[in-house]
Amino acid sequence: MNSEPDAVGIKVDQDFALVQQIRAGHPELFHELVRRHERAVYRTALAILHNPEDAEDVTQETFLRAVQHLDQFRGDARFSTWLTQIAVNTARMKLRKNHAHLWESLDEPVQTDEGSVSRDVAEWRENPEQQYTREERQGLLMQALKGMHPSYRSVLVLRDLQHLSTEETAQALGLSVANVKTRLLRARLQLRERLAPHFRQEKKEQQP
Amino acid sequence: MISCAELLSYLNDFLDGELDPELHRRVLEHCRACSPCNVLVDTTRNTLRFLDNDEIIELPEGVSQRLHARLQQHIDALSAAHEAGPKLVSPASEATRGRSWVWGLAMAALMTLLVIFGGLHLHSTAAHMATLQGWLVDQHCAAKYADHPQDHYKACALSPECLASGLGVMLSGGDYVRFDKAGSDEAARQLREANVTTDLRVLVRGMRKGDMIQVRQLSLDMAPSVSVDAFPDPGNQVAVASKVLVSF
Ligand SMILES: [Zn+2]
Repeated sequence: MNSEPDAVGIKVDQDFALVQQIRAGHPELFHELVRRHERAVYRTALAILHNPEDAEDVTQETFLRAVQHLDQFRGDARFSTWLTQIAVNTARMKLRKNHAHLWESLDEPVQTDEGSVSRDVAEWRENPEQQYTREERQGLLMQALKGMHPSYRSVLVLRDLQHLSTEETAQALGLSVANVKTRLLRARLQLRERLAPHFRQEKKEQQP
Repeated sequence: MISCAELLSYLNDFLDGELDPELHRRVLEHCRACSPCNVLVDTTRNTLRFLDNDEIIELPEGVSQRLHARLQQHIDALSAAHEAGPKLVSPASEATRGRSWVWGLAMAALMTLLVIFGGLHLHSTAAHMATLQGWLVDQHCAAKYADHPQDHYKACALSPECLASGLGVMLSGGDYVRFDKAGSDEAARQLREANVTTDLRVLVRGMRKGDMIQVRQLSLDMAPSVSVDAFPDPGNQVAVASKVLVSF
């Protein structure tokens, strides 16, 4: 992260500097801020909602809300974390509207019980992802995320796709750090199970 | 040797490289002896590598264009709403367009705040952080310029009598918020240095309580001559932006 101390010695990241300029009367710079983050916001929305039209709506809503609330951004967190928080909340509202029934179980405690971890002994091919085109990989990922519980999905996306830290993820989702860790383990194992059929070494299946 | 269950509990930290060296070694030791765990670790690592690809989810065609178009509409609507308001903005120019947008932004943010903190009213006496934009007017002249604060001028504000009364900000609706002593001094300091004569726009942030604001940051709005184009270099922009609101 590019940052430099400002006049009073506070760390100002590039996004925060841009935010200050926007607030000081340069609205056209908001487009630059959007360009920096639009893909990340869209990915977050798509991963949570699992529907391209909804993801686009949420992406637009997120940035509209961001511009309206820009005054509340204090610069004490990274701008991307703040934005992710808005994106997640917006996506959740949409999810709640579309799938009220799914939502009800969302805040239940998550258990990690080792007994249910599938002990798949098949090894994967070398660099399995290279067997697929980008479109195919995106398809595989979306397919794999599809059946996953939204609360696992959002943790996985923020941590492993957006590379937020555990603390930032907790902050964005309003979860405890411990809760993020538990859900992340569950999410990674589930994703692994769902990808496995595509990545298994074929030679084992061919053996008599 | 650690158990399979223990290995599972260390899996995330192991894959994220956050395990202490001794535990790391013990996980590896377990993997050498336990083939299922070895496969588990390996395939989960592959799963992460599969995700760790910036391009795995691309923006579909048109999403970005529609997003920027909608934002531009929003920005234009805010500007238009404020340019339509009486006496608020002098003849339209690129600079006033940008500035009037900030009015819109400030109002939108304020509205949002009011909605969020339902109980909070515009004239609430509870102290709260606020960002205000308006014209710099001293208390002595506040009543006189309530209807046309943009006509208040530098020489007036810096005259001994006016300066002694203390400076503050006249908001668009004719509401006046006075600065604390430190804020007033900082405003005077910046005004002396500013290359302006009249239309003394000011952006101020601080703890507001009723008709008074304890100023934390203050900036005489960027002069119309300062455009973004004047700072093509991004490094410069950062330096300029960090000066936009002067903390003191
Ligand atoms: Zn084992």
